[in-house]
Amino acid sequence: MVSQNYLRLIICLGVLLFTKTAFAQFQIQHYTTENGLPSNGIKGLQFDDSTGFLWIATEAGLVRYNGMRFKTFDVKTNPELGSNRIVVLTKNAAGKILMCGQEGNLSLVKNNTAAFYFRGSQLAKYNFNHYGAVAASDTLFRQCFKNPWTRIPYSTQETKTIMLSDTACVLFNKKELYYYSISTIQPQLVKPTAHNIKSLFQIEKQLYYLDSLNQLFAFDLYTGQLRKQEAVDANGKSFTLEHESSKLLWQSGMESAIFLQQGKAWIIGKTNERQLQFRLIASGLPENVFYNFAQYKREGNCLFLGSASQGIFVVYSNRLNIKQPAADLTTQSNSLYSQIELPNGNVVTSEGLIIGDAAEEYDYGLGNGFFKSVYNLNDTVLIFGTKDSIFSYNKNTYRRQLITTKHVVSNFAMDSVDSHLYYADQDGIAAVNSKGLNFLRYFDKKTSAGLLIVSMIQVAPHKLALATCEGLLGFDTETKIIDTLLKLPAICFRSFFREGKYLFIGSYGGGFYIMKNGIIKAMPLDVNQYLKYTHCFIKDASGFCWISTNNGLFKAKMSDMIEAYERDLPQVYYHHFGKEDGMEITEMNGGCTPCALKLKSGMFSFPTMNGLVWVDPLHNNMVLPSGGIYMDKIMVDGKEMELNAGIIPFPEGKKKIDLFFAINGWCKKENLYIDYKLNDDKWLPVEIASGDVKISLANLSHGSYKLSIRKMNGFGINNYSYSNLAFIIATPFYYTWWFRIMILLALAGIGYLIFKWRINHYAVRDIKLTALVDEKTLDLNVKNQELEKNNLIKMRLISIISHDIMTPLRFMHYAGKALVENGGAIKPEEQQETIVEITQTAKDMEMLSAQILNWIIYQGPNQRMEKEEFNLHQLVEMIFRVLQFSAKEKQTKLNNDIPLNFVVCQYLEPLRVLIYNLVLNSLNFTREGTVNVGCNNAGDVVKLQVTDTGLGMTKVQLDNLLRDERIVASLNVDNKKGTGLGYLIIKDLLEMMKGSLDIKSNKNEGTVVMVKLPIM
Amino acid sequence: MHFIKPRILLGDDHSIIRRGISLLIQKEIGHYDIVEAGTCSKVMAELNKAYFTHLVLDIIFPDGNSMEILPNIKSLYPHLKILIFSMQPPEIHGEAFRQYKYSYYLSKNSDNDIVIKVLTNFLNNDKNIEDSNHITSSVNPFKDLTSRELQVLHYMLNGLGTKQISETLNLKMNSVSTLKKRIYDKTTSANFKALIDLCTMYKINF
Repeated sequence: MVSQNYLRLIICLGVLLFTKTAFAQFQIQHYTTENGLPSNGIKGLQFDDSTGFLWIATEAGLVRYNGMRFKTFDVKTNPELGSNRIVVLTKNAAGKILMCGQEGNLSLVKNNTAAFYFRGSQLAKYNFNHYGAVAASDTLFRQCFKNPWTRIPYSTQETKTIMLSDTACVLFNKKELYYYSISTIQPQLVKPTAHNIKSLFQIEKQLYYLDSLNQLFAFDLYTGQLRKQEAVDANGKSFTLEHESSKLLWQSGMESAIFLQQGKAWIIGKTNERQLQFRLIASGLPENVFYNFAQYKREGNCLFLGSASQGIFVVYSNRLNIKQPAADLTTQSNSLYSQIELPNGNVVTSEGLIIGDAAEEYDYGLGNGFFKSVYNLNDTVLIFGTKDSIFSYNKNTYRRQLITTKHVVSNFAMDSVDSHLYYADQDGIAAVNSKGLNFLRYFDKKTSAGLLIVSMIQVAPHKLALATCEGLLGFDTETKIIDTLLKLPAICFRSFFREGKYLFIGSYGGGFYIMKNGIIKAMPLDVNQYLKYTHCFIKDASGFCWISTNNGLFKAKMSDMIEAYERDLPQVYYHHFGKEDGMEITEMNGGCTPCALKLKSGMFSFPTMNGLVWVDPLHNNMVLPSGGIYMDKIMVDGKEMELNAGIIPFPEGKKKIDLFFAINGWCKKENLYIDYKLNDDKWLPVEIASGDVKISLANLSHGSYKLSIRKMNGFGINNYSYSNLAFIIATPFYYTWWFRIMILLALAGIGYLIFKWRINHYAVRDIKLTALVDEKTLDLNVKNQELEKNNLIKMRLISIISHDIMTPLRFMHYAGKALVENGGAIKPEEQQETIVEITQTAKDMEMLSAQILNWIIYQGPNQRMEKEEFNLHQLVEMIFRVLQFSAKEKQTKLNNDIPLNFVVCQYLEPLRVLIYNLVLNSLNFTREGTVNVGCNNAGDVVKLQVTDTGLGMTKVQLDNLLRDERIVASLNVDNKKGTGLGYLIIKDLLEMMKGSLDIKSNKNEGTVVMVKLPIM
Repeated sequence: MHFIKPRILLGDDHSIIRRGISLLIQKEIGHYDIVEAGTCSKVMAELNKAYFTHLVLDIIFPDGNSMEILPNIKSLYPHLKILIFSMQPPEIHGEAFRQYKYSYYLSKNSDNDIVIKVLTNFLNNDKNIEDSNHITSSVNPFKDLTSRELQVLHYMLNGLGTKQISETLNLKMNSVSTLKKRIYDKTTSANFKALIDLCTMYKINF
């Protein structure tokens, strides 16, 4: 740690100086490669007033120092530098801080970083004359770069530039003065005087020089007039410039010159035309160091010195003074408590030690010391106690007078209420009167064993508040009742301070409180929570409250604290003074009265564990945390990101984003109150570790963010500097709108495909169903037609039965009856005719009945009949036997042409009926002819043929017969036309046997009926 | 009183029926001058051949329906007395034939006595005696059919298509279709099957 390193140095220097002057008046911090510098060879120093950064040119890069941490810019971070060896660091007339590496590229300081400014084409390394006018102006620099100087060699160390105007300057180089302007390509030697110029510098536009005799002159370039200058110190006394070992450091851009001599440094100021004032700004500087650069920071009175080989020195005057007793501290504790100021300005402490600047060591009757409690009754009388007595002390007569003998353990407290004086100690509360103490209330010994009364103060009429280790107690002087106002476990209340209506209450470990009208509020604490152990409050003349703690001294604006109380503000600026301000041991002491003393000199004196701390409350050279907040670097998961202006885009899915900021920390880190907030969340403190201002953000989800950073600039309400940063964490592709649309489209696509597939599926099913329905409809139609036909046939049959059977039978009956009842009225031949008629009709009706029966049997396909093997020849023979009488009657011959052993596998009975019908049909239409039944076998099919030589059929008759429609006509008895029922039966049987029918016939030529049947 | 001895022509397709009627007339009524004809054409031929006073005519013949020839017979032989002798229910054809002013209708299903009575009356030129025992159906759907419609129905039941019917009856196809439609409407039959069922039920023969 940097601070640790220079801590050691301070201690060393402190000890070194202490032996000489008892106090180190200045803090000197020495930085080398051991504590942060990359190189000890300093090539230039520039302090940027606008940002508060100190820029250091070294042989290992450009370094930025902010009072806390060194940050190096080298070719790794800034490749445009070209080389880490920085040879020029200067400020030109326009205030630009420019630097140039050995490679010749020119860079420019831009806030917290260095930026490329001018490309030098590697010229610098060998020829710096191109850069002669770099400290002048851009115009002159460009001219010089084009036309490098030849008359004078440019030295980055020695050549000084003094601007006269934008386009003209004076150069001091190798003890010679030159004039260089836009119209003079080469510097022109100026010979104003025979004086030997040692150093040249400029204050308030006036040119001065120091000659080799250490005389100072003001010098007018145009007239050549010289004015000798008188050197005086801060007190106006003559200041002697020693010839040997003195050095005057000045470079262009500096407001005044620094004079070094015998380990001391002075800043030179102009008092009038003939006088220059030398104000001491450093002492105790190492003398055997070659200082070559100086910069001065007005705020904090801070001097920066660069050396050629030993790094840099930062020097500023102490803000606090440690006052130590003259006594031998090896035999006596230096931990101090209550104090009384002595008339000579020294103080005497409760330990009896006399401390101060006055040489007189007279003890004024207080030399033996006293207890921790001293009560100022009025301007002349104070009351103090010893081990067993309480005295009053007259400040004018230095006499003390015993008030009462009383054992006091450690502290007592006193305050007056309504012009009555009250006293309190471990035993109880008493009223003070002329006779001594009159105890009004004793504490219970058991419960108040550890009760330590440190302070007592009136808070209301008749009401006292007591700061004790048992809480903040209230005591009513009239009712004598004690009540607890505030109690914190294991916390002692120790001090009171009244500011108008507001009572400040300090505690040891519990922070501090303000009470107003009985309402107590805890106050916000400092960054490091040092204010938890608050010892003492003391107010100075400019409205500031100084608070001593276990960890240094704080200064806060009284109105800020009151405002914070009234408005419940979470933050108050407390300026911390500690080690770097001159305090060796920062633990201060409290638990005593008074806890701090305001001296007649205006100084405040605080008791500490190591002497007294004296501070001038009005002139303490403090440095407030001013300046802006700059983005330094961004690390994403440990990898540095390039910085760009505008909204910073971060890739998604990164776990940790570290943001580093640059601020100037000359105020010390204890005084940096930096918060950040993300979007509109609450403010969170930024931790400052190793001088880095760093904000770590982890596991942020995607989206836009606004990061706000604020830094308190010092005292006052809402006195903040802000910096905002907008960044975006990339949206992962699965959260992007286009991805969602894609998913939606994909889903829609899938949905569409499913829909389409279903539709197709349904369409296919529909087609199948339609086909099925069509098939069924067809089936049904066929069945329906079948049914219709059958119905028609049925009706026909009914008609036939009625017309061809019943009616004829009725008239057969008439005829028969007429024959039977014949009384000779009917002629005999007519009787014979009637008998024949009756016989024939009976025969016809029998055949008709047989056919109707057959039709009823074989119509329809639902016959559970099985095929069987039989001899077809024999079957035909059987049929012929049945029909032989009919054949004989018609004189027709029946021929069986079926081969004898022709066996078929068919339905026997249906085939019999089929052949019977065919032969009968033939017989019906044949007279005196032949009917042949034959067959030929064609593979699986038998072709059965019934051939007759009968009447034959006309084409119309044939067509009617072969028509698929089945028409049954009435029996036409006279014409032997037939009912067609025979063929109807034939068709039904063929359908059953899976056979087919074909008829060939010509009128009067006979008929051939062919039937094809499967034999198996 | 018989001023002219009846000369009778029997038109029926069944010879046994003709024989039965003939014998019945001879035996019960005593008229012997009887000629038989088995078809429509024979009926026309016999009428043309000789003079007849009475014609007993069946409706359905193998070569046609007697309704087709009746107008002809009526115009040619206006004095010829005609008795329709049929199986068909009288309420159907009776009405149709009445258009042609034939007052004699005899159902073949009538009782023997009725047959003799009707024939006697017919042949003696007495007024027609209705078959009082025969209960006719008043809701018979076929009773409102015209003669033409009955002809078409006859061929429909014989299984003939519109074209064939139009050819047979010498009508336009459209007319046949209209007639068929009227038949369906009048009988409130939805289809041919229903018509057949209805015909079966009301004993329409053909």
